[in-house]
Amino acid sequence: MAFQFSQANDLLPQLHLNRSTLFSLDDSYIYDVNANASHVVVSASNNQIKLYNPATLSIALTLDYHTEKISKILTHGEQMIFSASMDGSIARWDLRTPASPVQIFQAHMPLCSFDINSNEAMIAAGTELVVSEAKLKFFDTRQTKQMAEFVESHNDDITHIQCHPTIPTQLISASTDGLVCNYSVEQFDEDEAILSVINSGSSVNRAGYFGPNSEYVYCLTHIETLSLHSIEGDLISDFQDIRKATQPGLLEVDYAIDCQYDAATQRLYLIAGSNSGDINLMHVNVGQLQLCQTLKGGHTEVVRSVAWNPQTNVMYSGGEDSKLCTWTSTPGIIEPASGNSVARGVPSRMQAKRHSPY
Amino acid sequence: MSSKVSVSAVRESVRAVLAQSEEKKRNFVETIELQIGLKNYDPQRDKRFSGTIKLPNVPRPKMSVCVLGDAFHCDQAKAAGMEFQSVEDLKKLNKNKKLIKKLAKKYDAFVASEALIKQIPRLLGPGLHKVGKFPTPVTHNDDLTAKADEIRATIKFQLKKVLCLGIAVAHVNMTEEQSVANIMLAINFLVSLLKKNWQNVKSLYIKSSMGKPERLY
Repeated sequence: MAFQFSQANDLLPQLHLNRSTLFSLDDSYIYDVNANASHVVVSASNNQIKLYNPATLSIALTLDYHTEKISKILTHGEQMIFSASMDGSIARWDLRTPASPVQIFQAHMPLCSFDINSNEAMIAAGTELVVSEAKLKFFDTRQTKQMAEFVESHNDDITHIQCHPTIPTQLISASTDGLVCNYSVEQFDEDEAILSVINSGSSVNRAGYFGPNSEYVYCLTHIETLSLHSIEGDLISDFQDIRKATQPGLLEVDYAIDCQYDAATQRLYLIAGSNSGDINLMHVNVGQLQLCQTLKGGHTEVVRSVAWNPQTNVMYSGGEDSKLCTWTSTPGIIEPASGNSVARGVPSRMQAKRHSPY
Repeated sequence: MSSKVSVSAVRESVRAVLAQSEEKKRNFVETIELQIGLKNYDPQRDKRFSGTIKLPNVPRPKMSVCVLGDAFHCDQAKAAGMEFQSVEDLKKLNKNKKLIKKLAKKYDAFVASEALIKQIPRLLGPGLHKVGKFPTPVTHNDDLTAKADEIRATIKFQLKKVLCLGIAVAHVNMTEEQSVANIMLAINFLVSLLKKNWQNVKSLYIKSSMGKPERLY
């Protein structure tokens, strides 16, 4: 094992399953969960986006536009939502007029990833490999116009893009070709734009900035390895296979869901899941993983996304069991995970909740 | 997780493949490919199935690896009889796309000194990215030949939109033991990445480039 493993039960206040709901009855997978103060925003494999009331998990709105897999959704403030799809478009939604998108950005290629930069003037989007090109495309958010595209930086599907949290011209892109590229795009000159490259050696699932000045990058691969790098590309810590943290019967780590940096405490967390639906919250140190808590009983299948706010201590999670769960400091009045108690005369307030998905 | 394929069964199949290849010798070294068919898996919805596997025995011994080295690594490469390029050599390319392309084409893979790898984007632009040959970093503590062999022993796999996948894990000039070790490791690693493990595996075959497939599972 390339890292030390320990427990740190008191690092975070404990989370408890508060409530849950089904996205739909057709076995749709939940792909992505986002949250702002007024909504939990969820995308799923039936190409729909649904907005839920965070307190009750009752449906507030359904957004229908995309005709193919929704690869990513992003919530921006309380009113704006962006969604990118394999149908080749990015839609911008304004919740004051939710009937249809207010803007459509056309990439004309299946999109795997995107992000908006810190001054909201630019969208960077990554495409799937088509024929022999995977493109990084840049759009002007005011005119929906494509400003530039990079065609040489990656030679396979661009799986993840993150714009720098404060510098509008900087971003990183990750790909199944194993590279994470760090760019500065003042001139959109591909030959000059690349500042540094991390060669992870394996298909990259996600990569993101962390650290007080965003001077570090974490990298998660599809073979479930984690590594930490400086933004210049130096390797800081190579955890290798995180599944090695598994302790049979006690802790199951089958895949990484994502990493999250908590700026307030300057801590990086790894959120990892099990194939049976457990969510493990782990604090990441150099060469060390500390298990803070395992969230059990919410999901029964692979967990695909979590939206966690360490400050308010609220987490929303969604998975391949089509379930959306809320985790808070206080346990909710929840029917047992085995379910099927609705028909057997449980109090009506619980029935109401159980029947809320539509 | 117990393996559903025993070492003895794999050994028997490897023997059959090797015997076939021996029977009709080809003018090249036949590759042994592992073919895996999946079930209860939806490439549209399920998580991506792609990555790399480091095998115990080198399946691609002929793969050429060039060292992009600082002074220390250039000396080491020279001593080991490996091809190398210094910072000065790379500077001479003057960011000329044609010359960079030529360099990229000449070798199958690159390793680069940690200090030099940071200058690659500035010296070569994205030229090596496009062909999937961005260098692997090496430190002064690494043994260059060992690192090159590690690259030769690492294979890629990626499931696209179909439910089957073939990967070159061995070749017919390997010993039976070496082939078996590579095949077992590849199978167990791939199956460990599937969410339902063996319940996601429909079939497993091995076959040499020109031979008949042998079913393992």
